Amino acid sequence: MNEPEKTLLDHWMEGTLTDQEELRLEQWLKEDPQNMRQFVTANIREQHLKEAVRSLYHANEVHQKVEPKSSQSSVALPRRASLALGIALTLFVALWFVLPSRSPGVQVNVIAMSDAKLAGVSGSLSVGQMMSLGSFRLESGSMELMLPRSVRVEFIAPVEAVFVDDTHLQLIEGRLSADVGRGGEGFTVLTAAGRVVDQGTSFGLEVEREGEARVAVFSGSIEFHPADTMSSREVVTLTEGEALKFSARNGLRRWQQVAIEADRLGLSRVATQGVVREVHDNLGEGDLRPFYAVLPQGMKPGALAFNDKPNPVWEAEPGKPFPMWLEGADLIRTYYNFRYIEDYELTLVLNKPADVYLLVVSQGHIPDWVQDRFEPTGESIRAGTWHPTMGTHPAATATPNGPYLKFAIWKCEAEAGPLTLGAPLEYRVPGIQSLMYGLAVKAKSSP
Amino acid sequence: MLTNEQQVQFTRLWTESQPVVSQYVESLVHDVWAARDIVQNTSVALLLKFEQYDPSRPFLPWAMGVAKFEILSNRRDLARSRIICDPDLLEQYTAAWVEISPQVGDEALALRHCLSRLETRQQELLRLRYVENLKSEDIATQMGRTATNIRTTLHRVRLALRRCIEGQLPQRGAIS
Repeated sequence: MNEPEKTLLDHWMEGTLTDQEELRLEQWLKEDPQNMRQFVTANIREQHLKEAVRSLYHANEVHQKVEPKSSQSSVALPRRASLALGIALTLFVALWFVLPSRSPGVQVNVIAMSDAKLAGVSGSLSVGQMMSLGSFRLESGSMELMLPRSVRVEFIAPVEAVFVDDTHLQLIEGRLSADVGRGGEGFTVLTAAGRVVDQGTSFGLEVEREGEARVAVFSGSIEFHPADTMSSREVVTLTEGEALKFSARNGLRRWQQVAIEADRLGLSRVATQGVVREVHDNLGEGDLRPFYAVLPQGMKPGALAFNDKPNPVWEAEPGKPFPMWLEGADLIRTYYNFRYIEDYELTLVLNKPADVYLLVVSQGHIPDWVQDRFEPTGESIRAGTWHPTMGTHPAATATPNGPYLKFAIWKCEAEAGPLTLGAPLEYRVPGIQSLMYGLAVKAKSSP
Repeated sequence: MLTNEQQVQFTRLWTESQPVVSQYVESLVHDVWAARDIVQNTSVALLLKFEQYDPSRPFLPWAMGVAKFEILSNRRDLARSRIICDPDLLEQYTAAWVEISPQVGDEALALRHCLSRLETRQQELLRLRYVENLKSEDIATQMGRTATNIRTTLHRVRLALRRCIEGQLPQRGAIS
């Protein structure tokens, strides 16, 4: 590209081409296909640069905003002034929640909905409809919206929320699942206990009115910035397979059991009273964040096997059908990286009598507690694909897409109430590689 | 009505393609808000037409084709009308973008690294240009320099970034 064309390109990128320059650029592009390639390459690089600069700037901006405030200034503030400021802030927050929002609204597209009833919107909603949404209340059903910057959000009623601007949503009450594509990083949901700042991910968030909020990350990562009212101001980063409860009263705690949809990344649309009432382990709250995903009727070919592994899915063994009695069971996605904890315990609390299916890698070590309480069904399925290094595992079968591991299905007939399972490897066995088990539960059919 | 499986497939394909489509639209449509509207309309159009999509063919060219029609039906950016309004040129531009974009995709990561190594005043210049969306004349007024001087400096910064990226890519094992 010569100097005159470089100038034309500069002016094109700035949007300052004169009519004459535009004509020259058009002629130059038509002269040789190679010119068009150079022009497009320069434009792609310019877009990369623009995106990188904006991303760098926004990251710095967020960093500056979350810097802890100087403690000196609050100490120096007279007590009476602090009190007055506190009252003013309380009034402001109260008015913020009580008064209808004056948010000008954000342009959104309705891309899916189910029995959705939206208060304050005249006429009926339809898929493909574009509208300006500020403060709103979803009274029933669910509604999926496409927001600016490639952010998709599904709201599950009842929801009360306010779009503050394109990138900020105040969730006063309700459940949402967000899927944030590139360009949408920084999308922020404000709650009474703090801000959830997306880093390019999909996550689910539940907020009780003026109470506890819960967030679970299905892919990528988010940052949680506690509100001033929280005892800890530390910013917490959550990644795939991690979840957190937060409230001004109880601070930050682990959210152990998250009900999610079987066929997509998102919180369950229906608050089910399924067979599994509770799932928890003995690792406590501490600094741990992993959660167990409970997917009502989620056990089927293609279901993700572990919460912290993006690839392996449950499948039938080659040439065999997927066991019918297993398909449609409630799937509990366990946490793969707990496989080496020797005193690990996982407790299920069942609402009713059920068949509990344990998927244990085969050939492999069978812990004593499995042999004592479970019976082998003689059937097996497989999970894959895994990282190529798993190809050396005794249970592995190599395929062109990567290794699969065989899992034998064990069964236990359990009564309603708690059922405690042990560690996949209760003690170190030389030459044995520990592998987390899978879990599915099916209510016994009524006689 | 899409099945759940189709919705999952759409989400996966669109999440992968959306950055490239957004960059393509922004390169042609100068007004940031108009560009965002077009990308948003493209995503809705793709979702509504997804049943017609042939999964044996690559998704990106299909998505870019839909984006191209959205641009054509939304010619608000008059400054770029000559290329947008010439069907042959727009077709060539779109086809070249589909072909070249994956080839230079690796540069984006290296670019972020190189950007952080620039001097503060160079970063500030880029901020004014790309975050504040100021033209060289406006930046010049703000910085007490001439527009030509600003353009020359921007050229030098881009050149320095290119050298830095080229130095980074072989280390990362990417295609240079």
